[in-house]
Amino acid sequence: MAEQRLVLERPLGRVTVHLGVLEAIAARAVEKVEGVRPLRLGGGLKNIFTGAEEGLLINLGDEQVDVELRIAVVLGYPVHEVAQGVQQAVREDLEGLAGVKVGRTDVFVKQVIPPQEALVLEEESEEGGENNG
Amino acid sequence: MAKEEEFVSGLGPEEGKVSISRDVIATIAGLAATEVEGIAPPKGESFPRGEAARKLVEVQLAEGRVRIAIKVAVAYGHPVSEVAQKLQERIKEEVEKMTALPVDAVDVEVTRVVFPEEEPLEEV
Repeated sequence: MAEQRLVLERPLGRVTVHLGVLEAIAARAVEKVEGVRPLRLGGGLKNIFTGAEEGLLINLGDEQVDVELRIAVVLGYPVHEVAQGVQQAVREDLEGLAGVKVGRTDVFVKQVIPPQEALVLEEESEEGGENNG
Repeated sequence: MAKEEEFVSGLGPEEGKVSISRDVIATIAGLAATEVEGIAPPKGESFPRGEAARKLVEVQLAEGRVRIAIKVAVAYGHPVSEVAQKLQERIKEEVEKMTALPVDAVDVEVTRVVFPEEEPLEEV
C-alpha cells in the first residue's frame, strides 16, 4: 500500500505532508503527557507509534485528520484526565505544528500499568536519549 | 536518461542566448532551502548540489515557465505547513532572482520530522 499523504493546496503550489510526519508529531505529543506509557514493554511510544503499529492511527480526510490512540495509563493517575490530556496534547500539536485540522481524537485506554513497571520503562527511555522538552 | 536539458532565459537571438541547466535551478532551490529556518534535508546533513540535487528537486519547464518540486524534512517544533510555505516563497524568490525565469509553482513534499536528539541541524 502506498504511503498516505496529506495534501494542502497553497497559493504557491502544493504542500504534501507524509503520514509519518503527522504520526511522529502525534507520538511526541503523547510522550509529553504524564501518566501515559507505551502499550507493551520495551521500546518507547515513538517506536511503537512510528512503526505504524496499533498504538496510533491517523485517518486522513480532506485537509483534516481523525486520530485513534491506544494507550496504557500508569496506576495512580486518573485515567480519565490522562486520556483527556492525551486528546488535548495530540490535537494541539497536530494543529499547531502540523497545521492540520483535527476532527476526532478517540483515545482507547487498553491497560493500566503498575508504577514499578512504569519506572523501569522510564529509565530505559532516558537511556535512549529522551529529552525533557 | 534524457539528455541534459537547458532553460533559455533572457536575450534575443542577436545578443546570444543564455542557457541555464536544470541542475543549476535544482541547486539554487536546495541552497534556498537551507536558508529557511526549520527546513532540513530529508537525509544526511546538507542539500545535495549539481546532479545529485535531482533526486530531491525536480524541475519542470513548460512554455518558458518553471515548476519545482522539492522533498524536505522539517525540524520538530516548527509548524510544518507554515515552514513549507516559507520555503515556497524563498525558492520562488531565489530562482527568479538568479535565473530570471518565472516560477509558477513550488510543490513541497514533507517526508519526515527531524527530532533534536536525532541529528544536529545546521544552524543558519
